[in-house]
Amino acid sequence: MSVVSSDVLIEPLDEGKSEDEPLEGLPPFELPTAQTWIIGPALPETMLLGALRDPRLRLLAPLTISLERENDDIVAYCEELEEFGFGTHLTEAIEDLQVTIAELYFTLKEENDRLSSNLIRIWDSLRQKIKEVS
Amino acid sequence: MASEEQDLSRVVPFLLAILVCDTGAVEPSSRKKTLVGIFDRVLADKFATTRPCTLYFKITDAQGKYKFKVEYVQVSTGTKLAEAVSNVVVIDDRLKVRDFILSFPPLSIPDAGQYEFRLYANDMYLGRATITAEKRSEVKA
Repeated sequence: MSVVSSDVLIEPLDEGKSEDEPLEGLPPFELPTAQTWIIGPALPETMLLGALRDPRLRLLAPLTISLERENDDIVAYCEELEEFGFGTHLTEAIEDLQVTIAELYFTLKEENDRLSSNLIRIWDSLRQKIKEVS
Repeated sequence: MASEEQDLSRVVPFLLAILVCDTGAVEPSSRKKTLVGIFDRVLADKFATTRPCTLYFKITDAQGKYKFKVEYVQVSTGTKLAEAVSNVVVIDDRLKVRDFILSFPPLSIPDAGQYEFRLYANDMYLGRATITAEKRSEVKA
């Protein structure tokens, strides 16, 4: 793998230095101080969700997620499933959405015989993209 | 380039493991991997600082051509501090398990707090590994 970063701008760590707790009686090692370079915003407008964090479910195809900042929160929205996830940062929002989608899957599965036309469309979409792992 | 992007698989790999360590080695004959110094916490006397890191991840249920991307992000500010992109990797059997070691140069840690390595396969988010940076003087013994 190749690394694309601003690494050349960062001073390398001196040989033998470590952040670990020192042995008793030894002075602590110190990490070098360095400036920081930001190479880009971490909040894209959209992303593809490739995993649900529920061990019972597997995604067969990625879900498109749109991301927005709303006040201090991040909102992750899956348009095809009409579901939202919220969090103070991107990962929290994604993980909230992952839980919501998993809950939606099992709820619609249970209520399968009495769904509205809109929920039938969402259930079809879920069935195409999600597989239950036995 | 456009055709290469079109060829990339839409089969979603399953992430089996992802972790951060000091260094990793690959034994040439068996391709077995050894990870040294697995950690999820960095202690420093002062910030900003830097820290060399190696990321290990293991996937299965992948088929086709993949480009893996790792973003190193400061969680509190949402800023991306580094990014690594692999060459195209071809996986021909969904039942196979593949693992990868990615060594970063010293990565910037501008302040105490959480940092994430976010893993993407063909731009599909698979998961993350988190490290927490703490000021040594504020760590309870």
